[in-house]
Amino acid sequence: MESLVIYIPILLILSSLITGLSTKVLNNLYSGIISTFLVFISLVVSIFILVEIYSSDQVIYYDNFYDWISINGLNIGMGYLIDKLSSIMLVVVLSISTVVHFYSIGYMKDEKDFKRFFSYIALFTFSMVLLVISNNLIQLFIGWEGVGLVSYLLIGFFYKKQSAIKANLKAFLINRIGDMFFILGIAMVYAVFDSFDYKTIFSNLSITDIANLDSYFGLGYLDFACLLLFLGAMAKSAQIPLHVWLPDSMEGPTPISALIHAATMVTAGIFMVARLSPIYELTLFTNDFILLVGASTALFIGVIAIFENDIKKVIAYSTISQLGYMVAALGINAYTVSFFHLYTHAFFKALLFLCAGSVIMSLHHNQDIRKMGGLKSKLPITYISFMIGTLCIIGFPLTSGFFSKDLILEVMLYDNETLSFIAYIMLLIGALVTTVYSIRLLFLVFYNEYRGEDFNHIREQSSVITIPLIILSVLSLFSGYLIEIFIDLPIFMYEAKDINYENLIAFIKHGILSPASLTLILGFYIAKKLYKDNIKIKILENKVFENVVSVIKSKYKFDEFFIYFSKLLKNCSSFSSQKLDLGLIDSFIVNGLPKKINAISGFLRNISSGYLYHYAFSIVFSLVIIFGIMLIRVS
Amino acid sequence: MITMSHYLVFSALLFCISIAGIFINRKNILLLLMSIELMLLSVNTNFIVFSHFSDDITGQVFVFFILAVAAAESAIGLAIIVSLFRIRNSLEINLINKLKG
Amino acid sequence: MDILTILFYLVTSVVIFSSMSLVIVNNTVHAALLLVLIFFNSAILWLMLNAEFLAIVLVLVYVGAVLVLFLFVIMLLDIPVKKTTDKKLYLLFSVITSLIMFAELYMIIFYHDFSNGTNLNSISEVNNTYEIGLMLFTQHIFSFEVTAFILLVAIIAAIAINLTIRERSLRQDPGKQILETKESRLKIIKGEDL
Repeated sequence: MESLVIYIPILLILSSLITGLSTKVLNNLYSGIISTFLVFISLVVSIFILVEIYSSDQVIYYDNFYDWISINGLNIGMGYLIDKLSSIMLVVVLSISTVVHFYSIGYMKDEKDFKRFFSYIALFTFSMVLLVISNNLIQLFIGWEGVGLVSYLLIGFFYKKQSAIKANLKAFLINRIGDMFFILGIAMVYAVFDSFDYKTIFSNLSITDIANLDSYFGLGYLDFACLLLFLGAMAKSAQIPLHVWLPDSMEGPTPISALIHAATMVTAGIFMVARLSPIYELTLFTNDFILLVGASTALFIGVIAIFENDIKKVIAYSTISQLGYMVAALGINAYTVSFFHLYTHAFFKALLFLCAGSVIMSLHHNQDIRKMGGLKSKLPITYISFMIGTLCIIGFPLTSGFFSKDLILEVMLYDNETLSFIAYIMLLIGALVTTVYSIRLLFLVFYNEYRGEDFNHIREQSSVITIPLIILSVLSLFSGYLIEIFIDLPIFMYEAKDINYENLIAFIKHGILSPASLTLILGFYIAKKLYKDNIKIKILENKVFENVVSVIKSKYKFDEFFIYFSKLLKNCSSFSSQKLDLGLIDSFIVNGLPKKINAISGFLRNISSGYLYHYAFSIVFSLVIIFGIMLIRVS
Repeated sequence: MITMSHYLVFSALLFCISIAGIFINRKNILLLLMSIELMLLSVNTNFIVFSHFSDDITGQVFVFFILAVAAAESAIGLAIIVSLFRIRNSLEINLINKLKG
Repeated sequence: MDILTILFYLVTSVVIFSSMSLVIVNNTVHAALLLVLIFFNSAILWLMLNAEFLAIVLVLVYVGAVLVLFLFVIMLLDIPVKKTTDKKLYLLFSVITSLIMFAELYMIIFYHDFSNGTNLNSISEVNNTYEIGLMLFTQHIFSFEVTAFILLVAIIAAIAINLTIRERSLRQDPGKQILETKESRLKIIKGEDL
């Protein structure tokens, strides 16, 4: 069983190579099928591993199957660490990947670059698997960068589209900011523990040691390392203020949005924190920081989604908001809960995206929800799937989102700290906002009259598109019942969070009676009034309210901030290039110095005139001076 | 009474005159050579003076060597001058500036 | 003032004045003859310092051989006598420099107070030539041999420098090459002259 782990990345890279390199040997359909089949095999393998892990209750650890760098005591290799956490993550990643592969065969069938697409997503899955199974930080970083690269490639998949190129560049640059912090964090961890290996790091960890560590910028070494790592995760998991790339990344093909920018890659940050939870457990400032960032992302970015009109961007903003929930849960050390939400979210968010893709395909690549409506009758399967996805995301009782979101709110409420209570309130309002925008999307797309053109030609897509929707719907609905797996997920903790869980029935009863249900009803009511019945409310036409809306519609000016910031940097660099480089270094040091030397030597050349008597004179003159000095010294 | 310092002042004066001769002279390289002979003479005089007043014959032996070497030097110097004259048809020092940088 | 003092001042004044005129004079033949005068007077001075052997060597070897060589060269080369027409500024500089140098040497001499050294006039049992010979062939025999070798080298060098290269040889003459100008080699002829 242990040896099986290695086959997963091998199969995936094989799939990537086959589809990427077989330009004319295979036709598009076959390469898609082969690729999907290989991913499916890896999924089966990963399920085997998951079952093995849960039945034997042990950890598969392989130190090093490939020595990468070995310098003077520093050993960096490739290995794997499969415990419950990574095996679940593996199954999630591979199952979504399989579904998306399958879906893509239908979605991308008319594309010229079909194989390139499949090669990329296989490469993505490979990188993600590398990240998940890694047993050291460097391998994690390789996977981390790998998924970032593939994300860049796939956002810019339609490379002839100006906006796509801009979006992928933006995503790449923002991720680069995060990656810089991330690699600094890795270095910091190495400085503290003298190792990149999780096993070594966790075994060297004890509270007394940490207390004795020096501080750095007022933070403990460990706190600082964790903060840096989390800053890296902020870019990858799209947290305020580094979230700006995710909405723009919707320029990529929709399956990609589902796979990379909703279900798996963006959760890499969450996974990383959960993986390093033994360290994060011990931090003080960083936990509070994580909590605040997560809660504010969940609330404020969710609000943007209410006023967004692009179907994919609405879902993208909701993704950011849901990631905020996970991050907030990380902030109070409720890693299992956060990871549970990651798991359920992956399914229903992929479902929502794939539904959106189906809608977009049916409407011939129209993404504007103002031109949709009344699609309920035309796209029944998509409608039902979308409905299920929406119910999950708003946390409708008995769906998967209900369990995970309720658990987060629950944990937050019982944390008994001021900060976590503030976060709880924010998340609760966030839940309301989530309900409003999700229901709004549902109503605007599927209810009322159709507002676009050519209503009669709209029809449901082929089964290649709809089967994944059905699969994901089922997964979304029932994945929440695996809650017990997550409750005892062995994520290392010093003080286990008190999760109020006795059994499933009690939890469901408790969840229905919680304030979250109130937000559900309230949100549904607001959304129905506003977007189904189109009732105009007086307050909303108020001047003050319009100002607030315009601020939200401008996405809180984060883009402008980054543009301003980059202009500032550009000015700095133009200053340094014009004044420092060209002015000082080039014209003064590089060219100026030789010029000066030339001038000086031109002057000095006159001294060596070639005339004998000049030389004789200078000899005698210096002799006179030497005599004079000797005389002065003697007398 | 002629003391040692009389002789020394004399040779110093001779030395200074010959030094002045080296760079006053710009027309003829032969005169330069003669100035050098003059310098050697003043140095030799100094040697003999010291040898005489300290009653040590070694100084005079040294002068003997100097005379021999000076003879060799002037022989080679003259040979160089002759070949220089053959090349340049002139002995003017201010025309010789091949060493100019 | 005894006769030696008078002789000293006489001889030294002759030497100083003739060396001054040697420096200034334009005619090299005059200069060489002045040098002969200087050497003769120096020989007298050396005699006064009981250095008979060296005095004679100076006259015989130096005046008789080296200076005659000078005269030979002067006459051989037949250098035209030219009046110096240069600016006199450098003259001033060189005179000032040598005056400063003399002043410094003078100060050194009197700082060390050599005036105490009196003429011992100790007439040794053996004569000066014998003494020098004794030193030369005992203590300084190696230096003596080296001096002989140096003289040999000087002879060979002097000959080698001036060895005339046979005509008709294909060897290039660097001197001629240096003296060649563009005009002496190239002649630009107008087209219609052909």
